[in-house]
Amino acid sequence: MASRVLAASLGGFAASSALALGAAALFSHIGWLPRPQAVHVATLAGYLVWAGLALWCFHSAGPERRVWAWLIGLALLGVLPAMGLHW
Amino acid sequence: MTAVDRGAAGPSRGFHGGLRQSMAWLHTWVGLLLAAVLYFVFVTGSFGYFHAEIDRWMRPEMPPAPAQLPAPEVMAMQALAYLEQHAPDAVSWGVDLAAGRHTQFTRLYVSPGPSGAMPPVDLLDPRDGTPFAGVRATGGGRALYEMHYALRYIDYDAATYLVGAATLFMLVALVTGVIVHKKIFTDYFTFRPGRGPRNWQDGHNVVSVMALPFLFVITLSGVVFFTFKYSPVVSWATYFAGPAAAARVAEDFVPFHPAPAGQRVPMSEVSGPLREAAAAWGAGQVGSLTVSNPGDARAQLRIDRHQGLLFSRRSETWLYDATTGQRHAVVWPFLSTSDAVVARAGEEPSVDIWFADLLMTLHEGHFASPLVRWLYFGSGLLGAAMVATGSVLWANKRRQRAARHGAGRCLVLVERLNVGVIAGLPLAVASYFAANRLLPVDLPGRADGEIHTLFLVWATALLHALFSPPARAWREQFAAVAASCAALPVINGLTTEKHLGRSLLAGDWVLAGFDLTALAMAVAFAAAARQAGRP
Repeated sequence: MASRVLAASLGGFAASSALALGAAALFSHIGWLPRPQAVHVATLAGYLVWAGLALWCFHSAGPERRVWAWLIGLALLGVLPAMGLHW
Repeated sequence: MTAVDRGAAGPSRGFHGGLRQSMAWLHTWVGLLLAAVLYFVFVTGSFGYFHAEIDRWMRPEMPPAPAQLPAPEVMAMQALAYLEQHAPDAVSWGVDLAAGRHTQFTRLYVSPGPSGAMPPVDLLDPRDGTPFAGVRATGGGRALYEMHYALRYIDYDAATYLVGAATLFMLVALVTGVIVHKKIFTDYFTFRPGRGPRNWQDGHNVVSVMALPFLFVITLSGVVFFTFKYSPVVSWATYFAGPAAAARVAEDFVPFHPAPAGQRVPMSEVSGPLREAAAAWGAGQVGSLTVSNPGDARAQLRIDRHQGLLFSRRSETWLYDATTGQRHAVVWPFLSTSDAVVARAGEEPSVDIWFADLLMTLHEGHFASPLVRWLYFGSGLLGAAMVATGSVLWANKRRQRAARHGAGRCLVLVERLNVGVIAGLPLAVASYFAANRLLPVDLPGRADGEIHTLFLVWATALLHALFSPPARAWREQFAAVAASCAALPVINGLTTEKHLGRSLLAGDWVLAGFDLTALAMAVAFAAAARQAGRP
């Protein structure tokens, strides 16, 4: 139970924030959105993604390690392009 | 069969069995954990929709709002002359210009300078700039409104994070609530009076579904007010971390709060910029002005739009050099940090800003006509009722199980806290209004005293609930709310000259409406007390 709560709150927040960061970096880099707009849109969308991930964490019947693997995978999916494009 | 039972019948593939059973578990706990915070937010936020009217009732010395207003530049010049006289070395002056219901009089704000000088009065008559002296200090409706996001007695940041967490819980509870109720509209039209615990389930369904669109919009838009605070990673990584951050800020944003030059230079006339803004935005659309570094070589004039229209482009702001009167930017402030507000430049809002502006306008409802305002108020109270019935439902279900296995301390505590929170808060709010009439008019710290009264009464209600059997506590506290609400028009009549009979005869529907609403509340809570007294 504690692991699910942790996954939904901290894991979901980290994964959604990383995805939003990656999306903002990518969209502004390829010119789909100006950078301030990309940051704003991604931040707003990231909050909804967090809520969605939290629901999924509690819905998923899989073992805790699979839930965490998905969250870490999503976080890396967001962070890696952001690292390449941002810093 | 309840929603949870139906979920149990589904395929076993969720964390707690079927999808609906997993979501029912989540719905129960996210709904319960911060229920007291959510209930407080809904109740105080609902009063916020009438904060201007409540302000009027709580300042009986003030005249009705003027029917005709001068041009914005006339009101602004009067206000700035008054501020220059009483706070010449201020860091900044702010002026909310009178513009109808939302801002009925000219309101002044000052960030004091080295001398600490502050104007003695913060409200001016917009017709001639006369300060309103002898008006009682009060938190008014604005204090109730502000408490719904800033709470009270705790740090502002901590409060907004707590409310943010409650908002996220609310969002999850709404989504899971819809998933749990497969037959949501059938459930909505099902009310089984006289069926004991079923009443609470049916009541919870009815109030939730009735206000569902409002609740979704109000929850989502509540997040938008603090977007970058609740989800700070993207903005932090882009603009505040790494060696390229400063260059990005310089590239994307315009300076918003200039540092003072330390050289005294007389200000230019502000009438030109205000006329320009009024001509561009339309009548009544100039909302406020702020002068940063008044009298300094780097003085800046900021003009903000009024927020009284649904599509108001509320964040549009024009910046002027206050020493020359030259406009140097149209900006859209959207990212706040602890010590600065940064803004995007451009004549038109981007889609994301337009969308965020629309959501915030929908949340605050400044555009609403009186009928729509009542709908907002009623929907907000339905939100409070949804949280309240959900909390009682949780306790009742466990009480049924406890009949077989015995009640634990947690259940007893929740049952009693439910009474103190749910019935105690309306009692506390009624006491807040009564304190406005009963505290001495010249009492130092009077506005804070009203708010202390609210929380003292609420704390007393909680203590009463903790030490009384719940059934008796419900009855007594509902009866106390009914008596307090009924007393408000009486106290008003005894302590001011604006009693209900006079305001009705004068057709003053703001004052009469407050007293009549208090009487209606008294009837409703008396009925609740009678119902709670039945075996």
